[in-house]
Amino acid sequence: MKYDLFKNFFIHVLLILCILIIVFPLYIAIVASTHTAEALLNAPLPLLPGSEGLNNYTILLTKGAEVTGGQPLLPMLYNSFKLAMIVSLGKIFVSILSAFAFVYFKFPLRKFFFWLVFATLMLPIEVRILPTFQVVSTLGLMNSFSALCLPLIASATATFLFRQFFLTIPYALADAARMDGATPWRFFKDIILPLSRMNIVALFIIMFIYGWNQYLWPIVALTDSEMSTILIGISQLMSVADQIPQWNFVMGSAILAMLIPVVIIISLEKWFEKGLVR
Amino acid sequence: MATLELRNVTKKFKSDIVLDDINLEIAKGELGVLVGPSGCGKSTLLRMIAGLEPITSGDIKLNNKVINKKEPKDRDIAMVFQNYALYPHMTVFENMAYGLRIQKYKKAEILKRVDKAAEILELSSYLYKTPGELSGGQRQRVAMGRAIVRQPAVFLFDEPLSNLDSHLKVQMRREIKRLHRELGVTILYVTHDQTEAMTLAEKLIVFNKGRIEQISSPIGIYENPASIFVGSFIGYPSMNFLKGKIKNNKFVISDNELLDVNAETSNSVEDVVIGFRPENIYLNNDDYINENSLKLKVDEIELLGSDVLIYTNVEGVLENNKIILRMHKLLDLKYQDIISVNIPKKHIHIFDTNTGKSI
Repeated sequence: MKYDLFKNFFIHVLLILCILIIVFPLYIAIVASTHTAEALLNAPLPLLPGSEGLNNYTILLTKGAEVTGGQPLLPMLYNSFKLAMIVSLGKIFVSILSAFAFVYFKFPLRKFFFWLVFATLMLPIEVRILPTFQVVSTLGLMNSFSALCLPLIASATATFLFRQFFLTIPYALADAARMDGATPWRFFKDIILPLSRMNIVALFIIMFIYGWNQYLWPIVALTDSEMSTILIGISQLMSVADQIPQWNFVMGSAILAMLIPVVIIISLEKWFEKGLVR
Repeated sequence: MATLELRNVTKKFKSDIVLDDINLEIAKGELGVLVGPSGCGKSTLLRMIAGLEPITSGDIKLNNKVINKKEPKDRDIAMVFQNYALYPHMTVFENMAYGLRIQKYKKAEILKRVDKAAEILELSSYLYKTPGELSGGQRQRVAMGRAIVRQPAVFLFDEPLSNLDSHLKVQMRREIKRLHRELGVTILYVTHDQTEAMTLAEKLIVFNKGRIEQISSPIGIYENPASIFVGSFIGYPSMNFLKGKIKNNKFVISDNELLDVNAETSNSVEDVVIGFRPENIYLNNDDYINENSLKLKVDEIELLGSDVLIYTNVEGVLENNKIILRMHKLLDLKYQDIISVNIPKKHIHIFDTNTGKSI
């Protein structure tokens, strides 16, 4: 009993410490977003919430901070959400179908194509950004929402993960479905899709955050500020020329940018865990 | 008339011949069992009959119609898979009904058929559980139910019992026999387990290296194996084999005249293998010596309960001299004891050493 008590105590101290390390910056951000810009520039830094919170957020969402030319964040949040949704759903759609083809169909050069897809796993966006830019601009898509989404939709990672999952499904199921008279499409719809729902949810979350956090490509692909995303918004707030950044607004926008992914994760958490474990 | 008929069926993977010129008939209502060691091509043959694997040449006929090119669903054949292949996210009912639903049967008809199959298989109270909640034996029954509801002309079973423990195996074996008896269906059953094959089969087909070694009734195969392979594969413990020559109706190992045999073909056949079953060896009484006697040295004794296995070596022979005896009572024997036994001529089978075939 005594030993257990000691162990529990030790574990809890450790956990609380870890939580503090993670939560403290977050707390500072929230506190900072509730003060005036001046209050944040004077030492000591306030550690308790101020009274300007509501005002700060209203300005951020509807009018935007004046120093950056008054860009409201609400449309940016919407743009980011749209981007992340389209990218993650698009990725799942494209990759589950290609993985299905790789696992259940025999076609010439199947191995070659799989390795081709697999090889792109090793190339991060930054490496292929120039060729991508070239292709998109040749297609005349620059500065459009398609330009933003399309290059991000192809996903080697998701294709690979779905393929690995399909390989764990006994192939006899495909045989049984054929004996039952199911067409490949019915087999996909009735058997593969329900069996992969956990993986779909897990991938959706990962890919949603990936889409939400896109920064480099939107900056390259967009010039029109109407389409800019929340991450671009934050960076604009931070890097104002000849001015001291208004930290209350910077922190406030960071909190706002965090909110939607957090809501997505919490609402899908149960599925997500199952999807990763199974 | 044969329900299922295979004519010169051959399968090649690139240049490898997996199945070589298979000819086989299964009559209506017959239970045929394909038995052979793993990797001999028997499962491939079953998949070819089901339509899951294309055939290289030859014909597969069902009720006298060639079905080579037909899709699996149009073949009027159902298959029970080794790992059951149940859809894990569907209930037992949905699993059984899935095929019928795809074929667009009416709801009432689906319900009727599934209910009936569930009743036969004693699954009625499990209809709304998923396969994950069932035991191995129950899953196996669901897999059979899925085949039964389609009311096919032929059932194919691909090693359906190999994932069950030995107790359940025996139980399910009887269940399959009962099903066959009650429904009167035509079955082709594949297994590598010779006991399963012997107990189930009406027609036994012994398979080896992509060829049919022998087709006969189980007892016919047991008593008259057509080759060394059949003799050694069917029956446990396996048939005893001795390598030697035949001279003047006598079996000879390096000038030792050991046994009298019925060599019908000629008086002097070089290089033969003789085979006899462990239970066809009889102990000589001390009082008189039977003909066809052999002296054996005891090596090991195994008590099986109802039977005793005695591992021995033939006295005076140095190589290939191991013989197993099966006796029904425990004898007062020790290691290195010499015993005298006789083997009746009619129980000795003679095989050609080179071809392995019975002479």
